[in-house]
Amino acid sequence: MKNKISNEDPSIDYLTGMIASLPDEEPPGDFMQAVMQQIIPKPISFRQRFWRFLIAPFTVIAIRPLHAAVTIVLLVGLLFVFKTFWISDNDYPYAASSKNANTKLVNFILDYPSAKKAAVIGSFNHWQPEHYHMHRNLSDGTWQIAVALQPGRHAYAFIIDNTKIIADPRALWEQDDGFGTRNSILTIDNEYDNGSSDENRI
Amino acid sequence: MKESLLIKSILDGNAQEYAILVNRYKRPIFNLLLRMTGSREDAADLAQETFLKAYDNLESFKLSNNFFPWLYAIAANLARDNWRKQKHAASHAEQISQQMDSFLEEKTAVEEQMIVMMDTQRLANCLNELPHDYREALILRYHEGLPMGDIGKALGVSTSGAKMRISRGIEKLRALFQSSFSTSSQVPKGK
Repeated sequence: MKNKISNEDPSIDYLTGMIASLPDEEPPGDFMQAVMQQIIPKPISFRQRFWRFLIAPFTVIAIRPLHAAVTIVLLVGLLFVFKTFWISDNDYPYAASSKNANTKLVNFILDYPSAKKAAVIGSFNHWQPEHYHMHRNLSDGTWQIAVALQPGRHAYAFIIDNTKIIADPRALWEQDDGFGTRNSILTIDNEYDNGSSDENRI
Repeated sequence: MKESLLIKSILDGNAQEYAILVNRYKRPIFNLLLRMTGSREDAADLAQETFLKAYDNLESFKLSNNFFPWLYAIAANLARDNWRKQKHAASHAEQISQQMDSFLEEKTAVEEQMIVMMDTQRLANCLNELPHDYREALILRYHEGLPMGDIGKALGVSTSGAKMRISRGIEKLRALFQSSFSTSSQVPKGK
């Protein structure tokens, strides 16, 4: 309270000081209880709950270094297993397609020592070399790949170093593809009678 | 706890935390309604209704604003509705006078007590003489200490409108206060 005596020409400070010092009355003692007993928790919609879940901060859990190391080793192991199967399924197409009882496993062999890379393309893989790359046989230097094929007539060729396309020099039949390139022809029936002496060799 | 976080938590279903807001603002809201109704019973009922209405409409409250002006506006509207129903507003002057007795008990200098009591009672009477909008603007500014922007929100006017009300309210109060010395034998009765 300002220590100023009463006067007939009060300053603004005097008046505002007195307004600040006006006593307040206390609400009834049971006021809080009377209000809160009528307060019911608000229902929250699924959408609101989901949104709040999305924007709520997460608490990072505590983890022991030993547990973290074991977890990492397990994850690396799983990754290795996954990658192994992934490579098997994609680099060796016969592995997946050979599940079909009618398919025949055919070994494509190309004798082209100067090639750095080779792949087989044909009607059976829509002329796409991905996953049909051949592997060099270290004993005789030839390029080889085993592919499971359905019975029927297949046109194919080899692609050397991603640039040069050649027909199979060992093939019994060839045909022109209409664009000036010759493709090899392979026919597989259910008994695999292709005129070849080696069932698995082309 | 920051008020916006508190309100978010209440909206998330933690209804019991509303008690923090009730406890924080029950006194100014009750006194606003007491000034407007002149009845403790009516003020308590309306204050209760204010907090319940605020809770029911809490979703519409903008978290970037301050809660008190919003709550105050709800209370003032309820009081106006109540006043329209009852068609009268009771004077609070007698109650202020009673409060003075207990309020001033702690003062030591008897002479100063007397002067202060007389001036405070005079001021309370003069405030009661002021139109509601001026009185509430002065109370919010100098008693509750609200910034101009919040006063504008509480009274439903712009910030410059709030400044004008306070400025004019002070001048009117000063004039009333001065004139009360010439009619000091009379106690103003209500609006």
